[in-house]
Formats: sequence, structure tokens, C-alpha cells
Amino acid sequence: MTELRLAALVKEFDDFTAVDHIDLTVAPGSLVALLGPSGCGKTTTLRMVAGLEHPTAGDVLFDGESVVGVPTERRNIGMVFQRYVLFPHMNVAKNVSFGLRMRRVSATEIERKVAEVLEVVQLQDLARRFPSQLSGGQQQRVAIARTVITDPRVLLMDEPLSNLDAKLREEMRAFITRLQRQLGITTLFVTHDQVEAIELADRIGVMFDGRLVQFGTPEEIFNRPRTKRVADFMGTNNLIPGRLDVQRDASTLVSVAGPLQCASGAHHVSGEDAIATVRPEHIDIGTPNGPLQGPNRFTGRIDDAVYYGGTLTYRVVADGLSLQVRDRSTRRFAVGEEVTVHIDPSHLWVFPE
Amino acid sequence: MIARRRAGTTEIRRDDRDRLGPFGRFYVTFVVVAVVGPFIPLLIASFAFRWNWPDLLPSRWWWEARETARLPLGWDYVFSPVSRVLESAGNTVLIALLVTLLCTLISLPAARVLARERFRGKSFVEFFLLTPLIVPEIAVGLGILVTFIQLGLAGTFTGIILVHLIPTIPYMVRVLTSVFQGLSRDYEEQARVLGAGPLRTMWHVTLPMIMPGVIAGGLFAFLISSNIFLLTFFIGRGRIETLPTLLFSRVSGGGALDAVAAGVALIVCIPGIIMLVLTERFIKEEVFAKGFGG
Ligand SMILES: Nc1ncnc2c1ncn2[C@@H]1O[C@H](COP(=O)(O)OP(=O)(O)O)[C@@H](O)[C@H]1O
Ligand SMILES: [Mg+2]
Repeated sequence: MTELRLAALVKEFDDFTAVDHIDLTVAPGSLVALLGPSGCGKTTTLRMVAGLEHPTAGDVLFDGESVVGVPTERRNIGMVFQRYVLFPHMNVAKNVSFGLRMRRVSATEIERKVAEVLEVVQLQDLARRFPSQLSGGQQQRVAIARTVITDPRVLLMDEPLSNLDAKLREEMRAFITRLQRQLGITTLFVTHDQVEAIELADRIGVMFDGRLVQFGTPEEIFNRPRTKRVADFMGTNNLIPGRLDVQRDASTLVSVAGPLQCASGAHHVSGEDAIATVRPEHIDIGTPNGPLQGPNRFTGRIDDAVYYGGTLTYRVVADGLSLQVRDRSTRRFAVGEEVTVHIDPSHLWVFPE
Repeated sequence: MIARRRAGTTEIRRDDRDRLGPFGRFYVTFVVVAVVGPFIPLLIASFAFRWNWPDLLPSRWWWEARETARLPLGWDYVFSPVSRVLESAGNTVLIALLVTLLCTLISLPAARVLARERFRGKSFVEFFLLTPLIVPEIAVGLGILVTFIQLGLAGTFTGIILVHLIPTIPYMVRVLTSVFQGLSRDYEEQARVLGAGPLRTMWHVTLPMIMPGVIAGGLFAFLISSNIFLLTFFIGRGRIETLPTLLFSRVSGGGALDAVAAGVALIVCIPGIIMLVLTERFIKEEVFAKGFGG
């Protein structure tokens, strides 16, 4: 298994900087998702790893060894493009065996491996078909089979699911996870879909405007965004602006609703404008006669209720705050009903404005 | 994308045929008459022994006079070595084949660069490629003749083949540029990622994928080469005869369309027709779908 490292990687097109000093390590056998909006430089980063684009500065290292001078065909990588790019003049078997044929593997070995890989992607019966005779999902599986058959050191995937419909996308997501775990290939996966990144990745790197803004586990990125932009991109709804007041190991965010105790703001500077965020499912909601002592408890009113994905999401207005609250219990509150909300300080994450 | 456009084109053409308005019917008739019409007198003349104005048909046919004549007549003469028709036809085909091959080999990389790369002076190169089509052939021919005489290339096959590259390469480069523009570079990049070097990528992926376009372009290069008169005439200096120069020497003497000239004129058309039949499928799909050099 190979470790992939990008070191201060830069790519400039004319006077436009598409990739701006990216440092990133993909641990051997793990899957890292590069997540960011369209045009933030994800594809360009991937193409530099593949050697299809030459870095303006910085380095790409496989197991600590620079590959910048190595031409694409000798990097021993796999890449699945956004469009599947199957060779239309070759049938499935020929497409899948292409990499082996280029490596001058013997015919019997090729036959054995093709049969093996086609079984893994469940396309045994379609070996003689041509790409134009396959569905989108089947084409995608051929593209993946063709890529993994050569045992690449690093697997690169550029939004491989964006051309599939929702149901198929879910299936393929599960398939890719299984395959990647099974084969243990170091993988860099590009997507603009945060759900996809969270579900697939061991680590997520969030990119904006060519920069890597945050790198961490899906849980970290999701619950503890480092900037407002990351929070917005991850679909965080509850953003509470205020001013920080740091004392000893705990800190308080003075918001419109009064002081909010936060556990994790200690490294920020007192007096700084900051934003606190909390996931909708981390807010407790109860009847108004519940206890009102302790930090971060408010009385509010249900403003709206939406049933989505098996749970009820309420919009609660409390002391000038508008909070989204997801309640997994079987209780039902009516719109207009009085409630108390409680946010555990450990779930309130603070980052600078 | 290309496939869809191709299918669309054929559909439209089929529709046209299915329901032609009065104007459409007139138009098609006109085109057919204009294309096929001139061949009819040629065909009749080639089988005539005596055909006087204003008779509709010859008063005496070739086969009627054939037995009594002392010299070979009409088609007999055309196919006899004296007429040099077969020799010229051989030259024409040989030259056209070599020109097509060379022209393709030279144009492929050039078109690839023009379609794929941005570089300074690109628009100048594109314009420069058009100049042989703009500058009169006679000017080009005279200039080259002087040089070729010095180089000892005048009157040689090499000289003729080189000079035939002048009108064919610009054409071929334009056709192939549009072919390359229609081929997403993803395919070549995918091949590289899978371990194919540049040459093997070209051989296993690029060429098979652009083959219909290359064949269509090659066909036209062949047709252009086999129809060149002036440049062949200048550079060949009468030592190397092709069908167009032979035909010219047959008819340049004087007005009457004799049976032999008519026969030669018909034979001049044969290489083109054969190529057209052989590659008909590709032409329909590629050239007409893409337009000429678009
Ligand atoms: N070959 C190129 N020449 C000029 N600009 C480019 C080129 N490739 C990409 N870019 C620009 O770089 C930026 C990042 O592109 P890309 O890496 O494709 O983004 P993403 O994959 O995240 O959508 C875009 O603004 C794009 O227009
Ligand atoms: Mg992209």
C-alpha cells in the first residue's frame, strides 16, 4: 500500500491560480475525499497527481518519493473520470484488459484476471458487449474494473457518481466503499456532494478557491467546521453569531439570546466576533414545564414543522434565535406550541466570524 | 455527440426523400441531370465511329467499323499500349496512393496540434494553410518548377508527389483538425493513465477512434491528387503522364470529340468512382455529417 502526499502543490493557468499550496496526505489504503464547490480546483489537483497536468510548484510524492518527473503511463495509477470514457471500439473484456495488455501481461494471465475482476463488478455476462450497449451504472462498473485490474498504487476518482441517478448513486457508493476496503487501495476521491464525502471517506479535505480550508474526519468536518464557509457548505443550519468571552477552560458566546456556554472555544481570543454552531439533532426539545436551570436552556415556540427522512424537523424561535431542531423521538409538537430547548455545551462549536 | 449528430443528418436526408415538394422534385431532377447528363454524350461518343452534327445518334458505330479498319479504333485504341492510357492510369493511381499516405502521415500530427494546443501564431498557421487554395496554381507551379529543375526533381515521380502535397495537405489538415476536435482528449488521457505511452495511445485508441474521418479525408486527398492537371503537367514535363495530362494532350489538338478522347475522359473518372464506392459508408457518415473542415 502506498502513501500519497501532496506538498505545497500549486497550479497556475496564465495568471489564474487554480490550486494554491495544497498540503495533504492520504494514508496507505485509506480514502480521502476532496470536497468543494465546482471550480475550486479539485479536478486540477487530481490531474496533477495523475501527471496529466504539471504542477507550477510543489510536489506529489508516492511513499515519500517524488513522481513529478514520472510520465503518467509509468506512475501506475488508476483514474476514473467523471464521464466513464470507455473506449467505444472495444468490448467490455477488451476495455477491462487494456491496462494489462499495455503492461504486456501474458494472454492466459489476462484471461484469468479479466474473469476475476468482471466477477467482482458482477459483469461476467456482459464481457462481449460494447460500451454503447450498457447502462450508465454498468459503464461505471466497467470503468472501475478497468482501473483496479492493474493493482494501481493510487486510485483517483473524479466525481464518478455525478452522472448516475439517485438510487444508482447510492448503490455505487456502497459498491465503491466495499471495493476500496477489500482491495485496500490508497484513494483520492473528488466530489462536490458532502453526503457522498461523509459516507465514503476516512478523511475529508474541504477546498475553496484552490485552497485546502479544512482537513479531518467526516465527523470533525461535519460537527466542527472551522469557518463559516465550511459550515455553510456542509449544510449547517444553526449559526449563532455573537462575541466571545473566554474564561479559563470554558468560554461564553454572548448572543442575542444571552450568554451561551461553549466547551470548545478556548483557543479563540476573547472579545472576538465568533459564530457558534450546533447540529439540529444535537438540540434537545421538551415541554415548557421542563427544568430551566443549567446553561443553554431557552423557552421558545414552534414556528414550523417538516417531516423529512423519517424524522421531524422543527423551526423553533427562542429569545430572538431561530433554531432548527431534529427530534427523533415519537413526541409531536404542534406549530405554535411552547417548548423548551436545551443545547449541551459540548455540542456547541465556535469558530471565528 | 458525434453519433447523435450523424444520426440526425441521415434522418433529415431520408425525410427529404420521403416527401418532396414540387420544388424539391425539380431540384433533385436538375441535380441528377446536371451530374449525369454530360456523361451521356461522352459514353455515346466513345462507341461512335462517325457522329455528325446534328444527328441524335452516331451514323456509324465503332463495332461496325472495327473489322475493316487498319489501325485500332475507339476502345481498342484506348486499351492498346500506344495510347498510354493504362500506363497513365497506373501512374495516376500510384501517385494518388502515395500522396494520400504521405499527406495523412504529415497531416495527422499537425491537425492534432491545431485542434488541441494553444500557441502563439496559431491563427497565422491556420491562415498559412489556406494560401495554397487561394494563390493561383499556375503561380505556385512556375515557382516550384524553377526550384525542382535545380534539384533534379522535375520530371520525376518524387517531384510530382511532392507537388501534389501542396493542395492536399491544407485540405487534409482542415478535415483532421475537425476530427480531432470531435474526439475528447479524455480517451487519450485514460489510455495514458492505464499505462499506454504516447505511441501506443495513438495506435490503440486515437487512430481507431478517428479512422472514419481519416478514411474520408484520405479519399478526398486521393480524388484531389488524381485530378490535378496543371501541377503534374508542369513538374512531369511530359515524361510522366497521368490521366488528366493525357486527356489534355488528346483534346488540346482541336475541337472534335473523337471516340478515343471520349474513352479517355471516361477512364479518368474511374479511380474516383472506385474510391467512392469503396468508402461510401465513411463518406456518408463522416464528411457530410461534419461538413467540410468545419
Ligand atoms: N486548462 C485550463 N486552463 C485554464 N484554466 C483552467 C484549466 N483547467 C481548469 N481551469 C480553471 O481552474 C479552476 C479549477 O478547475 P477544476 O480543477 O476543474 O475545478 P473543479 O474540478 O473543482 O470543478 C476553474 O476556474 C477552471 O476554469
Ligand atoms: Mg471537476
